[in-house]
Amino acid sequence: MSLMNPEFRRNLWLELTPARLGVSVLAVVSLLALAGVRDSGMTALSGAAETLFGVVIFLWGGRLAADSVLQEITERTWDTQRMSALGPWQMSWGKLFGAPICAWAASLPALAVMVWLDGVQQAAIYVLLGVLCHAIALTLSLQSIRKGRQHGRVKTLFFQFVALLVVLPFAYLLIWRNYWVERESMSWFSLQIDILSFALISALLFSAWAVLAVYRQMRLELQKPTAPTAWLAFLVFLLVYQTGLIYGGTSAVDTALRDLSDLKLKDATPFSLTLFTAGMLLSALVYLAIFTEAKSMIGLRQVWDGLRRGDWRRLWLHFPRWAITLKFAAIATILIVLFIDLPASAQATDSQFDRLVIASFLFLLRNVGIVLLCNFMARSGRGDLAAIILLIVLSVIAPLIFGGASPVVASLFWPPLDGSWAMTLIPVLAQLVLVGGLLIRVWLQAEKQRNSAI
Amino acid sequence: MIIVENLVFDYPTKRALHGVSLVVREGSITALVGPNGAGKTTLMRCIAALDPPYSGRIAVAGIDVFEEPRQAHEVMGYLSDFFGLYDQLTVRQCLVHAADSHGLSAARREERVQQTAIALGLEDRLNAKAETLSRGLRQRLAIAQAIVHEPRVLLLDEPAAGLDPEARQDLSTLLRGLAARGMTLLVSSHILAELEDYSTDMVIVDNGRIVENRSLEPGAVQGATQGVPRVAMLLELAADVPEIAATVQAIADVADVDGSGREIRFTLPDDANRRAALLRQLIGAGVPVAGLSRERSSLQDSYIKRVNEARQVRP
Repeated sequence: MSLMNPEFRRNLWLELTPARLGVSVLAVVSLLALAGVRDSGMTALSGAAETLFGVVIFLWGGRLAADSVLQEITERTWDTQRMSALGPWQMSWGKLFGAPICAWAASLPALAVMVWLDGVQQAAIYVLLGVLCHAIALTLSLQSIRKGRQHGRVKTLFFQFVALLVVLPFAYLLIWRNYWVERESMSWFSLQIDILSFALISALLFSAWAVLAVYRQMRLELQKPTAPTAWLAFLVFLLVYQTGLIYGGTSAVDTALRDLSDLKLKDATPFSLTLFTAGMLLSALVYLAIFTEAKSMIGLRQVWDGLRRGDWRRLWLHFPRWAITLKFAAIATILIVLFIDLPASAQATDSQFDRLVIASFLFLLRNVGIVLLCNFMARSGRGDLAAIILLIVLSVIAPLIFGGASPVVASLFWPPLDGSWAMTLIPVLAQLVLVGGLLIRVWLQAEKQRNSAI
Repeated sequence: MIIVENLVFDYPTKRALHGVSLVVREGSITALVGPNGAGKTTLMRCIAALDPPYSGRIAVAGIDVFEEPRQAHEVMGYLSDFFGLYDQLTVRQCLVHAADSHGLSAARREERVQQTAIALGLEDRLNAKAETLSRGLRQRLAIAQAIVHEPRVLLLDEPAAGLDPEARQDLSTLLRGLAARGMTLLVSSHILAELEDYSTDMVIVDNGRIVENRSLEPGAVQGATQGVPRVAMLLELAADVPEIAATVQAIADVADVDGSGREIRFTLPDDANRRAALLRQLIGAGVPVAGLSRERSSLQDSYIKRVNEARQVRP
């Protein structure tokens, strides 16, 4: 085989045309020159280089990365690609670095200026953030085609947007660090590290995870047996990462965490804060997993069959990532209820807090059930959209309309902070039973239809 | 060459393949036929490791396609009904990419690109972009992409769709040539007359089940006598002979006798000596034999007959 990755080379042929490259590089160089001429102090040039790099890599490159697989679906070339003998790793990096190759090439003048004026370390962080942004966009597009093989410009924009959301905290850390970080260094557990090095290491780690995500999704797409082991490892990594931040006690991060909710958990112990934030993080990840993953009845049937027959490989290969995360969230909920003692300064009693945490987890379960129900009932593949609309109605619009009617009605939509056990749990449990019953009904109907066809 | 065992493919509320089992012999051109929605494309995509089944196993050239899909793709070529061409690439770039993607060495790649371009009549178009080619040439390029790595198995989904009669004739010649070089072909198509030109075997799929899998070689029928396969024969007479069916039936190894008057059909072990013995006996008995030949049944007739039979058994 040729020394060059065939998929990367194909992208070079298609993307790196002389006209495209010439125009984009010329535009970047011209804008840099303009900034340089207008400001002899180089501040404007440095800012222009960072902005241009951001626009070219995060916006343009992100779109190219998000579109790389979706375009193949539109042009009906993806099956031909999947029939090649290229492995998932070759296909992954061929696409990840090949699709946005013109953006990378066009960003080089800006990157050179950044290295010159801001140093290698900061430039390296930006490069890693570019990889992170592209990898997330590509992962999301790979996940989306597993849900339905349709292409749409809105999809591409949405994947770009999500990728930018992930990159944003790092960019924030880099650009405005002088405004909100009081010190030059911070602690992760007991490890003292300067802010820029921490950003570099974090960007490196998260980029590596994002590239791994591309690889795992590509494995699935190329029909290689792939269990959700990497997702499990990622959850553990995230929990350790956030625990390190809390135990490090970095003032800005610490303050942000302590003000995360209305509970005002000032003076809580690092252990309590770790458990609390782990619970919140895992709940957020349940939503991330369930909305990005393909939710098919066939997959759940495989899990059920694996369980019934004691075929653990089959069970693990088809085990949904949202279900793994939900298990972690359940464990976190139990640990929070058992071990968190609120400080005296908190705006809730221990009992109120326990009720709130349990009810929050039950609401999470209800919402998962709603997402599954919408997906199993939807015939057009728009189950996720229907679920999002329904959840917005239930969590935002309905509380605004009916929330003021009475505390009991309000507790149908959000767990109340100061309600009794019955008022906190019965409304959500009733909804859970309803959603669970509907799910079972839909499942049994599908089984009946399938069995009658057999 | 292709072994499918108990393949089940499910959609959420429908079973598309019901425990399908199938063997495709090496060097054959197997026509995969069936009505719309019968499960042909699903079966082909499972064999190509493009869609995972609910359960079952498929081996291509001894490789489990669901455990080792990439290795399986090294010995497989696949032509989808949409061709899957990169319009902005030249014919040469398309072929080079396909060759490299299937693991050919650089030296072998150049040789194969040239050979394949010549075999498909594309040698004078190597520098043309794919988007500039006519539909017939695009189809040839798609086939060239699928065979440039010399796969042992080639899967073709509706290869003749949209082609003019001349291009179909070329396709037929090409497929026969590939089979003659030892390639095993599985061809899904609705155009039975075209399949009849080059297919050696036929698999009929209906409602997610295989209703027939047999050879289409002239006269080939299911069954064997002492290990010798049986063939369908047609006996033509110069004049009406009363009780001719009983006369033929009485001859050793003859079975499935049907017909009267001047045309009699029956099956016989595929052996020249037995045919010679049969002729000797008939002529000795004074039967005015005008001809004895293997019978080629129409694919269309056979297909409709088998699908109807299967539907009567399974209402």
